[in-house]
Amino acid sequence: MILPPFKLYKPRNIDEALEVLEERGDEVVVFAGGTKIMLLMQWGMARPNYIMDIKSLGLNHVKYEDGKLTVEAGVTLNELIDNEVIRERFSLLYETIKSIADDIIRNKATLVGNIVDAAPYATAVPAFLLLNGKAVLRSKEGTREVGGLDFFVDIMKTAQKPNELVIAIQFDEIKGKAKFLDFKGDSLFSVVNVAAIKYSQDGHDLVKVAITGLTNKPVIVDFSDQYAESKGNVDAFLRKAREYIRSEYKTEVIADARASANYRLHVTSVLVSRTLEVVVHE
Amino acid sequence: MYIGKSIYRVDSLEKVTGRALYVFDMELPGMLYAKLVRSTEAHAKIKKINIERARTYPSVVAVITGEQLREYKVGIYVADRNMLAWDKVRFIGEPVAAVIAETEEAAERAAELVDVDYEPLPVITDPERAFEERAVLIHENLGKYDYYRGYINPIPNTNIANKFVLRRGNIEDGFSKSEMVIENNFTEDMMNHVYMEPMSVIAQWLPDGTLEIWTSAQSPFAVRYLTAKALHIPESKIIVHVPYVGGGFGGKAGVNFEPLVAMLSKMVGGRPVKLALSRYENFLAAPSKVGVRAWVKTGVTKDGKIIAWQARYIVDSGGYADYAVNVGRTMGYIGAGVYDIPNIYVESYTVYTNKPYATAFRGFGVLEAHWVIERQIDIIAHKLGMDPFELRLKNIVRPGSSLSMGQRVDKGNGDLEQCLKMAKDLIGWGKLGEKVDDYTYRGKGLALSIKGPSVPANNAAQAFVRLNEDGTIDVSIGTTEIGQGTLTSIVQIVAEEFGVPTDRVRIDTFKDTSKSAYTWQTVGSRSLFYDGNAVLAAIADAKDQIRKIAARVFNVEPSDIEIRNGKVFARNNPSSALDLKDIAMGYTLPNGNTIGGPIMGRGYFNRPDLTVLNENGQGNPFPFVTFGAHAVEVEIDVLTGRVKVLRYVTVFDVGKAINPELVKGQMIGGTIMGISYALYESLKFDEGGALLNPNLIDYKVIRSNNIPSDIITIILENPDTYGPYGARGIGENAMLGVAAAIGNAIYNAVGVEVHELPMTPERVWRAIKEQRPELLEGW
Repeated sequence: MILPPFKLYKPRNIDEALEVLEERGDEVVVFAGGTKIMLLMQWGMARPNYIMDIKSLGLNHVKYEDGKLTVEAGVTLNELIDNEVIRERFSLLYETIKSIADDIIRNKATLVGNIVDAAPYATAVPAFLLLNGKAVLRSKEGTREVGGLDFFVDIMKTAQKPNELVIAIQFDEIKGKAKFLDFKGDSLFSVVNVAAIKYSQDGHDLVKVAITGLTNKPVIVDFSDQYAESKGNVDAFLRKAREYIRSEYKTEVIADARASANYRLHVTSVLVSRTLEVVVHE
Repeated sequence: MYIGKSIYRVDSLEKVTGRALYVFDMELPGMLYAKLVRSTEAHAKIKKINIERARTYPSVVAVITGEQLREYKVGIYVADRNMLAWDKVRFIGEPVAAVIAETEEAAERAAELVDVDYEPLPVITDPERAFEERAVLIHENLGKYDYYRGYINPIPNTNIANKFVLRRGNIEDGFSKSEMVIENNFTEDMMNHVYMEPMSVIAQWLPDGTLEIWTSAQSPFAVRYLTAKALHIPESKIIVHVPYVGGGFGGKAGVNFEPLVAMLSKMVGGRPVKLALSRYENFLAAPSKVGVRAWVKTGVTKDGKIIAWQARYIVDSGGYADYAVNVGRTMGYIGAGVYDIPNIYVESYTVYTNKPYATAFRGFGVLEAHWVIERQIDIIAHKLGMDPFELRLKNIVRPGSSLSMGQRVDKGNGDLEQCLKMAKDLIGWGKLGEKVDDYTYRGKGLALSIKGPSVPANNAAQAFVRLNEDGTIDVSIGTTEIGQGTLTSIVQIVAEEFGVPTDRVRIDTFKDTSKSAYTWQTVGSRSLFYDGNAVLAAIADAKDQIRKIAARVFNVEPSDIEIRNGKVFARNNPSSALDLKDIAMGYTLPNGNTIGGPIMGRGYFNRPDLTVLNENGQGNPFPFVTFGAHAVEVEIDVLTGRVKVLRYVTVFDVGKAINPELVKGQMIGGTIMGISYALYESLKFDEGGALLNPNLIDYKVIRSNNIPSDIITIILENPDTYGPYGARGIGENAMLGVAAAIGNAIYNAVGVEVHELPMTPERVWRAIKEQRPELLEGW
């Protein structure tokens, strides 16, 4: 099949890219790995007039400094897997990335793309949320950062403005225990993605879970209080966590061809329980 | 010498170096491109088609609608389909117009500019509803269509494209004597072949009125025959070319877009026109696999003798009958599979629904029936408190008994009992499944299978064997190379019979109906059996000719001539031998006189004793049957319902493995495809008939990380009475019992019966929740 016609911009530097976005940001689709836009165009679900290739902007760096990780927009998933810092200091991210697609697609797909896509099945968003992720947005007006749930406005819609380019995503290094699990049924896309983390802050244990795929927007659940109340009884804690998920999201849970609402809610509670079990284990 | 050797495939070098030719990649000089405009309604009258904007788009040569082709009807068994929808559409995706342009891009852009006004009609997507429904008819003219009388039985004024009944003994009597009766329902979703090369056709007309077609199709002679019929032209005026086929699995078994593309070419003055579908289009516009709703009721004695078997299949054919009516028929006449039961009553109804239509698929109705039969057998065993292995042993057909449709079984069909016992031993058959941890269980399951080709009794194969001037040999058969490898085995047979190395034998890997030897169709696991035998007959004919010539050269009787190791000699004087090349063109005497001429052997094969089925579905339909056994070990995560296949054992009595690696490849391939069919694959439709997953992300096909590393293949060789070197077919067989074996293993693991295919995690979880909620307590 032949792709529908479009005009391709290949800016040579960031300023050129920002010019394009300033002029017609609402008509332009930004393209790095292209794993999303290619599919949508093939399926007849997207007809962008303009596509902007950002692979020549030099946004290929991974920086680790003072406990902060910065991953620029052009960095591919396999480049991250090969990166020692990711493997040793950002195990949650590492585990997450290895679950995305397959080795071949990971040669092209980018981490920033996965997050900015904001699809319900976006695998990397839970890690973004639990590691205090921030999107670095640049436009001709300057640079700003948007982090956490504020970045996700609706299904496949983020706080990014039409004239902004996501230059990079930042993560905090959090010293604690973390675990990622996804569930893929009879589709290559996840039904649900769950990350859990436990770390100490000001003498308290914090236990949090982030989920995509359960509802329209990503979700963060703070289980710190339930964990403290359980006083070391892991089984009781996990049971409570599961009950919480099942009751709290009963009406909001989405349903689609990949999973019914009922099953999705159940699998989410299973993954929440399984990830929490790993992170609270002594 | 060559029989039983695993030589490399004759097509392997071309395929691994990317040189292999497929129609999808072909270009002819002056070729135009066609794109289809597809229906957006599942069931609707076509009020108006606006083609102006498309017709005037740059580079567009023509826009054709169903109106211009309305007098042509297509259909292998029921002529129910127009090449382009006229007056009415019956599924979302049905072609309603075709745009022909100088470039593929122009055709595609222009196709989007065709505007169709529809008047929606009520939509029926559920096959059971279609079966009952009398007011809403998908084919209101069903009573007026031409159809294959005596074979197919459409019921006018219904949505039933074919009704088939099998009767044996007295079913009421059987149930009245039963001490326990077990009833169950089973379902199977519609599925897709996902052959690697999407449907592709090129057609052109030569100045003398000859139609030339290149097509990715399994059966060039069927394409020729059915196109001739559809277009009302003689077969001598059609040439069908088939190069390598990028997979078929039954999806390309009959005739598909060839007549349409032929007419498109005609309407642009005979210029070559190519239609090649994208994967997405292939999901929508090319046919897939039937869906099934089945009900089965079995009567047994308390000690496990099955004495009554009743079943009803409702077979979902989608918008058109195509090959699916015969799939439904076969699902009926395979009856109770490998089991010897005196009283049988099976009804099979193939129905129309407003969904993309279905065609042949690997297993051809016998696949679907085995899900039902082999699951039901296990459920009966559970209810009787019997070991499923023992119950099978007690009820399988044995030499001297007969299959459900009356065909007798004897030693020449192979050893089913040996297959069963080996599978059971190799999987380590024991008791109930083991618990690995709180939520992970393992279990083992068994299944048996049987299939023979579902073919017209008079189907035949032909072969030519021709000697070249240097004594090398050319052989021609009608079987296409669709990935199955039959052609390689044929080369081995020729090499063996003449005693020459395989590289001195050439087989026509590409088909040309004006030149290749004929075979009925490349389907049904029939190819090696039929074409192999035809080749043996052709070789015998060639040898006859060689002997007659050599007899005169050596001054002996033809019966005194031996042909061995590429040499021809009189038995009483082997040292004075001729090379094949000395006789290939006839023998020339020193004075210039000739004895005989160029050697060309021709032969055919059929089974003259096969019969049609009578009004009770009884007869002698199978040229051979292949028996096999399947055993599997699975692991289940009860919390998610996910099933993982750990180990698989597949045992088949193929009679003779002419190329053991190829046989093994079929067995492994069938197992893998079977696991995919059992656990993942499903065409998902919404209530409006729209296909929700026309892509390979949401239509999940098994990938390498889901394949068990442990697949044990066992080949038994108890020769077939009629097979070449005793060989039987295997192509479909290895897939037949996989789903049921897995379903049976799930019960062994967690005591839960699954009745739906595919056994997706959600479905397995639901079954566990309903039947053994205690396993999920607190979850």
